[in-house]
Amino acid sequence: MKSFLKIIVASALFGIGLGVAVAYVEVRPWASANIRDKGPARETLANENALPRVEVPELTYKFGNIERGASMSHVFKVRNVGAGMLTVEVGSTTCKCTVGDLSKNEIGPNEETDVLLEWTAKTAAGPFRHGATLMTNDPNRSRIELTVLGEVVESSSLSPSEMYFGTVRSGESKKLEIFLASNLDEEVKILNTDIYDEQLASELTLKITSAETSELPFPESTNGLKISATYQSGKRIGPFRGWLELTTNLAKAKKLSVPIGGTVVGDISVFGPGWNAPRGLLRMGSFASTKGKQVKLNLTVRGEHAKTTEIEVQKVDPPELQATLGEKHVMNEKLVHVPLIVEIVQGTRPLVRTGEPASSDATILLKTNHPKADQILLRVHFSVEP
Amino acid sequence: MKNTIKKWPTLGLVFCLSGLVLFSLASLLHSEEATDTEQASAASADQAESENDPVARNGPIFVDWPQPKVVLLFSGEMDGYLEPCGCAGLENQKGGLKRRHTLIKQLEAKGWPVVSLDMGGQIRRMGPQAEVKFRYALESLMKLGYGTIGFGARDLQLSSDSLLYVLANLDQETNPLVSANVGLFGADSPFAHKYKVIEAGGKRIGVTAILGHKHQPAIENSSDITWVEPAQALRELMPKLESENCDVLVLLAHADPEEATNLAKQFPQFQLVATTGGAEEPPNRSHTIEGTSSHLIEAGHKGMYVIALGLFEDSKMSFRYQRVPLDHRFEDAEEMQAMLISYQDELKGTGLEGLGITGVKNPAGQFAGSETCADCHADATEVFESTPHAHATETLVDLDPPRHFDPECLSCHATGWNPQEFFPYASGYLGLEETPHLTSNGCENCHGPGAAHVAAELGEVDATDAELESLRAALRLKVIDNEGNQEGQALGVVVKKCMECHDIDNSPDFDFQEYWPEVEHEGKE
Repeated sequence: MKSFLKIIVASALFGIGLGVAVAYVEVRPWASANIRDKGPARETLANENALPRVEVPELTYKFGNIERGASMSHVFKVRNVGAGMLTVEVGSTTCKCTVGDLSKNEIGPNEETDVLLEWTAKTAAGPFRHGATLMTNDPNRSRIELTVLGEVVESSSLSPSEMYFGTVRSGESKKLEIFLASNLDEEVKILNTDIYDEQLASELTLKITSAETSELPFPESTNGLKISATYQSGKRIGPFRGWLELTTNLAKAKKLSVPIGGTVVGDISVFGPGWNAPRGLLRMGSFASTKGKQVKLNLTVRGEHAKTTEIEVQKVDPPELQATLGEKHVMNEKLVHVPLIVEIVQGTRPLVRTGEPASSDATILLKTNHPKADQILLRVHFSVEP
Repeated sequence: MKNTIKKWPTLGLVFCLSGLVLFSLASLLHSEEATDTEQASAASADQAESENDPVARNGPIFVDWPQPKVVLLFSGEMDGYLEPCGCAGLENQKGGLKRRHTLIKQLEAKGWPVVSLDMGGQIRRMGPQAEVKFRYALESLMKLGYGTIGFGARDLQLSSDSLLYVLANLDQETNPLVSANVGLFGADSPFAHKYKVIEAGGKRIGVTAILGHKHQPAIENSSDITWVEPAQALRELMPKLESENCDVLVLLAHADPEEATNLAKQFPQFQLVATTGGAEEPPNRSHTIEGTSSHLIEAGHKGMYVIALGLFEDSKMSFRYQRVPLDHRFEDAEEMQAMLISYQDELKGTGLEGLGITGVKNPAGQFAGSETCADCHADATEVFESTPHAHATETLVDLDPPRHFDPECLSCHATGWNPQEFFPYASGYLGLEETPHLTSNGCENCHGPGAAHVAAELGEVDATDAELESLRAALRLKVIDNEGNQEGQALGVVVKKCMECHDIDNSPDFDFQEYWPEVEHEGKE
């Protein structure tokens, strides 16, 4: 039995050894997967020694923080540590990089050249990574990627960069704060504010006060202002959107634009593709009679009456228009939603209901037991083509 | 024993072959962290001659990859780029769902099981167009077979009605939305999974997602969203996730690399931690997070890249990393083109008013249209008409699908819009039929609204000579010495105007001093 084991072990060792030897000859460890087959160059050891070999001591350079608009550059060294002539060409660069001229495309043995990467910080504040690809005739490294990275910073920061009010219940108000901070020594001042939307301007109140450094969201900030905004919803239902323009004393940020957004909703709201909330209108568009059209809307009921509110279809005009309510989903005590399928079935006769002046609106009248809204009228526009 | 001795050469041959196979594999997989650069192939290098060749430009992909057990495809921060805009030429731009779909189909055609994971951030703006876009982005990703999708802050800033609509209409069987720390419409809402386990290629992949600290202020105003500190949420989740006996645990962090790194150190059970918030261009290799064996993955911005991570049954090289540039090596997939057609159709059907886009009063006045300018400024008009500016709206109409109902395109392809904020001024372009005199990127987009100047010059209103001159002066622009947008050039009023449309996204190669001679014009005649 011992002899049997010896034979097995010896056989295994011999086999593995032979396998390793064969593999070593077939796939040399220094010959990695990216070798470019240059035919005769690999035929003899003497020829292999005559090949160029590229060496780039540094592939990545960190610029650190760059102020927006500034330019930075870095020189990468490319060496030929082989015996043959090394050729280096710029393969590609990412769009914000420029690669300086290679002082020479051919690099002799034991020589080196410079590759200059330049980048102008045109992008918004935040991290960046860019680079260039060099193509070489080194059979072991046909592509080399050089990378520069860092962070674009601005002399001032707005945080949050917008005034987002989310959902505002009709008749209620909502308040938020944003900070304008200076990241340099300059003391920031707001010289003027403008809201380029008359309705929004009437609904929004701004208050500007000095902020404590501890309140500012960026540790590098030296001073800043707190802008408190209160949105008081009026008669409008649906989305509101606009821009606040701040005029400041900052040399590099004289004008700052702050998007403002949110949605005013009533106790019962409608949402879905083609639904125009401010006008209470569903646009179904034009479609062929042979195809018909279906739109899925959602009715959302909010507030203390959400769970007890029942909705039913009371009247639809014209009769070719179908409205079907789906199953009620209770999300929580104060939020319920109900699907509403609006459909013109295939084969409906040609019919135009696109409102004045061509025709009148189609309508869907919903009946509810909600104390503040016993009826909901949905206007519908569509055109059934022959 | 005799039989055994007789089998000795056979056993030797078997061991020889075993050794050969072992060594061949070892030598192929000798690097723990292979990079796509190091895997460049001779075949693709030979194509480097052509500037337009995407492989030459952006590198070959999946070179020497053997059959993986499974490929994890990471994406995130699409930022509303359902497609590259095309302004700078599609061959110069990366990204788009059409190309992403083709990539996935190609990998699947090779028999590689693909698990697609998204870190969230489908949109980058607010308002009704963003709501429509989010819905299409989500539907598209589901059509692409995404197993898991996290939330970005912008995604959660959509109106409550819009979010509820999208979520309520998701097929809950295939709902890919995941978040360990965000609750929608109640902490225990059915709309997002705390984690998901996906089985593919014989592997069990456990995935969860978080929304980082950085984004919490952006959603604190929404009463329908609850946010829990990510580490706390993960501490509560880990026992359950670990009990799933997964082969790989993945954390998708819609955060920034620093927060994701800290979470990886606190929860080293995650072998892979993918994060948003890094640079626009993702790295060409993965990075091991210091003090852990976890790897940090970034996918860049705007959907220009996806990161493919192949898992292999190999102790020396258990995974390979590939940054995949979504360039024009990938053809446009018809299914995603159909989605884009539907998206544009919906924008058309909804109309500008339905998208909440109403004219905002321009403090400088009303727009008259370029044809009115042409009545007096003949020479300038001749130059203008020879430039693409004169056909800017037509360009949108001729696209497939047409984009002239898309506010994000109209803002630079019509007259009288704010180019950076995507809204029209009160007398600006509204449509081909409503305002035919305001097609093209007309004179007034640079010079300012000219209706008051026209009315005064035509005697429609009374104006003194001083008032006439004042109105003329308000519309004049002068190029200053060495004006331009390159290093060392003067960033004057004119070049700043140009850069409102010729921005980094839509005109990355814009060089004022090179472009200006093409549109140069002066004076009235």
